Amino acid sequence: MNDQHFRRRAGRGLCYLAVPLLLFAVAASAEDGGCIELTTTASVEQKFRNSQGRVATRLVPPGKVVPGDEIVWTITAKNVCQMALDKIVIGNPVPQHMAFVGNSADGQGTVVTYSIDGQAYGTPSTLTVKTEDGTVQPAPPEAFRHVRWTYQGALAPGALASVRYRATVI
Amino acid sequence: MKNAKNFPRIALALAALTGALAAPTVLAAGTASSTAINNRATVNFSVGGVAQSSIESSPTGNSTGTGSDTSFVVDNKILHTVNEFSGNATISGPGAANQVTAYTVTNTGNTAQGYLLAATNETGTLLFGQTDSTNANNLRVFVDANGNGSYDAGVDVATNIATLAPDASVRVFVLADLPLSVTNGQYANVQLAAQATTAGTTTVVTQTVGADNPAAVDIVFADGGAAERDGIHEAADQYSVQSAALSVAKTSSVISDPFNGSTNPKAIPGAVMQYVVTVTNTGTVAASLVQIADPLPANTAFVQGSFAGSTDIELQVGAAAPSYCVAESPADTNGDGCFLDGSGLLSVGPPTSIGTVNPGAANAVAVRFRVAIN
Repeated sequence: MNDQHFRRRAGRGLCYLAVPLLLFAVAASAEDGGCIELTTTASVEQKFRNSQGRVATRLVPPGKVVPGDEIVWTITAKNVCQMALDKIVIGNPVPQHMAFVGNSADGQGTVVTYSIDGQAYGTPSTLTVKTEDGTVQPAPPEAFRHVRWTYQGALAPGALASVRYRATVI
Repeated sequence: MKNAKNFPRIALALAALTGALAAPTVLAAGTASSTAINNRATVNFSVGGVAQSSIESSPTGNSTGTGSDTSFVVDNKILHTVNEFSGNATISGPGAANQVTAYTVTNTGNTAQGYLLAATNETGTLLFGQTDSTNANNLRVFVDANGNGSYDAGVDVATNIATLAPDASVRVFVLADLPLSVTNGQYANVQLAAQATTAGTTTVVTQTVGADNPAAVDIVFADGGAAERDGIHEAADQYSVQSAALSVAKTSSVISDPFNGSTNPKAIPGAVMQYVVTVTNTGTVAASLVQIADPLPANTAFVQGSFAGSTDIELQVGAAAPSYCVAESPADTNGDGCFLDGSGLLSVGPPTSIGTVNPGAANAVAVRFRVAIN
């Protein structure tokens, strides 16, 4: 019985070595789960007194949220596979009933672009809106309805990438 | 295979585009409470240059294509304003009843609320440049039922606001009675307070204490500083007392005596004295003079025929031409408003020309008559 056991194990090992590409395709399919675990978290900034007695801020789950309150959205991508991932692009529509807070989007190693219509993305200086009388104006931050973070590098196995922005409840 | 991977991305893009074009209804008061705010992000990536299926986010972390929303519920923001309506005091007089001051209550929160209303007298407060110096009685509150902005007795009967939608306003009236004892130049400041209640009820809302309940709509008082957050707002208005204030002066002079005639006459038996009763209105509202009653001094006798046309009393309003009446005794048989009763009381009243005393020294009313010293 021990002999048979060892032979079966060796057989499986051979399979792994022989068809690495096939395994990748299988692993990447929707049914098995992808290589990124994506989490979206809502937080609010809270002032508190730290251990040195100084006023500091930290992110906590939202308590009571009413119009006018600011929410910090954090999106985290974790590489749950054994190989590096690249060309990572995280996109998030600014939720309905919220307005994007200008200059609040960041993510280490990313280039941030925005879209008003969900089709064309660009930096703030390239986005415009047409006012009622037909004049074209630079788009204000509240007009940005989509945020996109484009990673420049690769995400190593097990690594975590985190991006963030703020929006206020209208 | 490649098409299958792309399809979810396109579907998401379309959904996002539709969302961007639809114009949301934005109330000044903000997103209604109990509205769920949902967020789902998407990541696209490649492995070894091969594009992979996109993955959506979830609150705890998702790695299969479709994720789930990260959500929270918008809570109930309690905020409202009470504002005095006209920008000036309501002018009233002593004993005036059902005097109206008007206010506007606006719901600036994000949820329909009711409001409990209460009117109270203020003490010593300053409003419209005047300091409160008296109180009004019988304060009552009524809500404008027909939206016409003025108080309609019998129509505006509700004493609390049943429900006011976010951004909506309603006019509220405070009615008061001024006591008879108030005097010209007094001011009664009153205050209307509105306290938020659950819409459609008189149950006062209380702020949700402790942690947020993400599944339920919590209540947050947004008014004032932390110490004042109580869901109550107030505004003040003023009743200004303006009335007639009559002052009466009586002077006498010697007209003649039996020995000196009219040259430096002295007040000796047989001398004729002229009395002038002057009524001045030092108030700000005209007074209707009902009667001047003056008991003749002791030891004197009324002199008849002292004035033109054998009249007994000269009446003059300010600098106007005087009028005259006859003081017959014991009753006013000729109906001219003047008579001398049996007890020596001289009475001057309607329909004489001194029926109204307007404010100011220039409008003072004078009554002149003569007596002889016994």
